[in-house]
Amino acid sequence: MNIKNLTIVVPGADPNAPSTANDITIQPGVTGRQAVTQIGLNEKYFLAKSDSTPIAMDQDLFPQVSDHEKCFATTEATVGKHAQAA
Amino acid sequence: MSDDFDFREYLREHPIIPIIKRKIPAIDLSWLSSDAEDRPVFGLTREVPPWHPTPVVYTPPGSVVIRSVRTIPATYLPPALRMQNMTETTRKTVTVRKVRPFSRKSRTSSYWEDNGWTRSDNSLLGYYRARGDGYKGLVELTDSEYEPYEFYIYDPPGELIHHGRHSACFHRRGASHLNKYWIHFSTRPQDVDSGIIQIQKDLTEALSN
Repeated sequence: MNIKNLTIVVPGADPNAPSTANDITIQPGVTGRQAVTQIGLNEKYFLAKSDSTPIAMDQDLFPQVSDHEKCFATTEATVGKHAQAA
Repeated sequence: MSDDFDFREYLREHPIIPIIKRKIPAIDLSWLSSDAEDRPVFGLTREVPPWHPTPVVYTPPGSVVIRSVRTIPATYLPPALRMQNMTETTRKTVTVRKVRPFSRKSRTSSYWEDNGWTRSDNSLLGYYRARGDGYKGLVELTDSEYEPYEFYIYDPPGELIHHGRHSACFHRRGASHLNKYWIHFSTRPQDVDSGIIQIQKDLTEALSN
């Protein structure tokens, strides 16, 4: 079957706050942006894999992840003064 | 004493190799060299009496031992290693387990938990990972609403702090011998995971260039 199950973990606001795991099922053609929207997150969130590899949010998510893979929703953060360039 | 006796921990407190060397000097170990199975791993040292029925592997503190079970006759143990319930005619089996990096993973665990960062009071300690290497890191939790997290890296690679496009954003803090750098964010991460992941991305980028 051409679907993949994915767990997206949204971290708590601080280390004391529990993270939230969201299970979604995706089909080819679904972008990372659509996936985070589906679990109620806004466009400020990005997805990263367990090895911190970023996921291209505007490209097809399906080939970028494995079935039952755990991904992490992160917010934008920029080291230094290069916010515009990042 | 149970069979789960932690041999490595015991060795840290009682370094037995010097004791044995004093008691049994100049032993010819060539008769052991053909036994491939008992070859030292990670620099293990073997010092056994030639009449010993089976080779014994002693490890220096801090080594990783992959042998599963060792039988050490009490007769050949130095007094410091003889245990309360052992006599010269009894044998004690010591189980030495391979030490694996601690990692707690669950469905809901966050990135810093999955990657071995540990919580200590108001700080998190762990390693930023990039291109197969780990760089010691520290995240301090502050009371500030404006900047609730402060990220540090110890001994960062030169490619990051001297040549990377973010080189000006790493500021040395604390004693010079610590080589500890505070990391300035122009866009502050809203959670610990986001900060760690971003620093790892910058590390990877700097090391790739």
